[in-house]
Amino acid sequence: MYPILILLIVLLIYGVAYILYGKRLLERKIVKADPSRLTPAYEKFDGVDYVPANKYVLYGHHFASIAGAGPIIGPATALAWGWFLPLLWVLFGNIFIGAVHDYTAIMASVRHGGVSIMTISENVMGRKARYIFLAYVWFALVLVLAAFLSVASGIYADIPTAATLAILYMPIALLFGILVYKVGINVKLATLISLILVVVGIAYSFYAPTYLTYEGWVIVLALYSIIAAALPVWYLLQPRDYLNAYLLWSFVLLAVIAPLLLPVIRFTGPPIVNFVAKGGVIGAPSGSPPAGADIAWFWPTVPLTIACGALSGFHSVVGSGTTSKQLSNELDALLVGYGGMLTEGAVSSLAVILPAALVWDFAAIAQSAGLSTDLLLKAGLNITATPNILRLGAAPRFYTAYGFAQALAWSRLFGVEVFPQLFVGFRTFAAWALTSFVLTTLDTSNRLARFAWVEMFDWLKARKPTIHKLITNRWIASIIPIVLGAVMAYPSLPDPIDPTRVIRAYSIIWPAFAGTNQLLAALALLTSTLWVYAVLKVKGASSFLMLIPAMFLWVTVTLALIIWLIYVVPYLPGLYIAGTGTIVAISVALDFLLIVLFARGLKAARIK
Amino acid sequence: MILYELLYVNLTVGSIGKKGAITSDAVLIASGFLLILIGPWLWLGEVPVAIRKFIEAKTGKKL
Repeated sequence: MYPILILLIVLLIYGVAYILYGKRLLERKIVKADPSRLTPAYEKFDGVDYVPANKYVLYGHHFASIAGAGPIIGPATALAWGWFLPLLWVLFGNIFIGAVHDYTAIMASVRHGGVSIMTISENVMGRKARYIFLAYVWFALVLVLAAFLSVASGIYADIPTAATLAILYMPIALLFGILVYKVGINVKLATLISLILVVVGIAYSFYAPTYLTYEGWVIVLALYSIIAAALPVWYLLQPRDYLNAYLLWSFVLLAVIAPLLLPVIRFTGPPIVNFVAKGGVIGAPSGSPPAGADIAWFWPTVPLTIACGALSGFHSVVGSGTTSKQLSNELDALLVGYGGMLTEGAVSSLAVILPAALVWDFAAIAQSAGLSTDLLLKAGLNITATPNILRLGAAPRFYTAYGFAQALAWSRLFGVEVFPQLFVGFRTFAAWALTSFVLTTLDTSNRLARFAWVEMFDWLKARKPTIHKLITNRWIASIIPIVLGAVMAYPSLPDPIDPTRVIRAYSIIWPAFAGTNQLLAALALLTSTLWVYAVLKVKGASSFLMLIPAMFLWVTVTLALIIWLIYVVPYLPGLYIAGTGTIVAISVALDFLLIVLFARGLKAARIK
Repeated sequence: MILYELLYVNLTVGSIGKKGAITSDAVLIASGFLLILIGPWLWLGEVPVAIRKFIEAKTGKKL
């Protein structure tokens, strides 16, 4: 199999899906998007959260917010099944589930004044569903905050030049916002100025490491998160995410160019390794007995491994949180929601799976590309010690494959002798791309937690207006979740699985996130499906095109979580069972409760 | 504070702060980083006039 063939197939599938499934079916037939209808960004304009944005700016924000490390680490881990099965899941999940889920979450929110998908569930599934859903999402967001606070602090403590770049990046983003909104310069010129400054900032940061301890960064980033989440979106969030999207675009563009420069080199990886992989693939902590056992059947456990690249519940919270409040035209939602998700799928399929399939067997690829062992050693690759890509951890698997494929492609133009330098350069670029969205997700999650918090306490507005005003104040509502997140990110403890290792407190419950996030996706898609059926009155075959993928996802994720509870949880140390096990067990119970509410909602809609 | 650290401290010392420690330079640049997020916002106000006028024209409502 040639990489260029996979590239063309993937691009063709995405193009056809965008036009036929996205534009013709979802936008025109199901949602019936109307450009003349005023969106909440205008109707409820407040200058802070409800602010209309240019569609490319919003696309950048949405894309940068939904694309964390997920579309990269997930598919890299899933390579344990081979390259074909993860690719198949990314394409299928992306087009029929993930992109539909993201788009309908945005549009449902837009038609309901910009409220979250959790609050919309009240209209179709009742009041109980709404508050269960809101509390569930708020706690999930606190967990995300703890994890990203810890990851970002760890990265900046370990890579001090990345910290300097982050410090330089924010003023550049602020300048972009001021140039566009305050000075009135057009977006293209402001983009050019800002991107030049970003390049200068990158170059400077290599020579200016900023040293601070992990604990110091936790405090600084927690304060940053409060400020960034409470400030108006036009001021920092929109410009910063817009500029971030250029980085990810260049990352994807390079992934598209590489196969074009390598037309005759074949994949060295097997399409399918096995239909059942070791438990480590579905998050069993390394060293525990299930990590080495054959319990990860491709179906139904694949969504526990591949999240953002195919589908993710977090996206519905972003779509019906920050994105829907900034949409200036209903027709923009297709590019932002459906297109944003397809782009994320392209990151997984073209920038992660395709390079890995190409360079899988290092000796075979070196032989077919005419690279000597000495040259590979110069690049830091010992193919005797590491014969194939599966010997590496998920993150190094990704940046090694990406760096290798890029170096191979560009050494065709610049000469094979520069392969080591190209490999090191592109591997660093890949690692940098992986970490560059951590801060974006950190403050977007805090803003989303604030929205969920405010919606959770709306019942208090009529009864106790003063208390309601106080606890829903945007600064207070931003401080509460990040303080809880910091409390989980700051302390360290010996890992109960491997006491020689030190972990952060949040790690005890973090493994639960993979499952609860996918469960959230299933529930959000069921809510959107019911919204389409009951509110938009779309019946017949079109409604089944949403109902069938939604039910398939619910069954898949529920089964995967039950497998996880049966095969993984009992082998975990007590502390993990108390943390992760309890959260997953509660999630499964809520999952069944919400499916009952969904069935009742569907029945009620059919009677009407 | 950011400019002082970037253009003076880094160029004369070769880094900002010391590995594994919380130094005054690290505190200065971190404080500068947080202040620069708030400063222009306090100076510019919540809603830029251009956005406000645009919304008023689109909705027909006075903000």
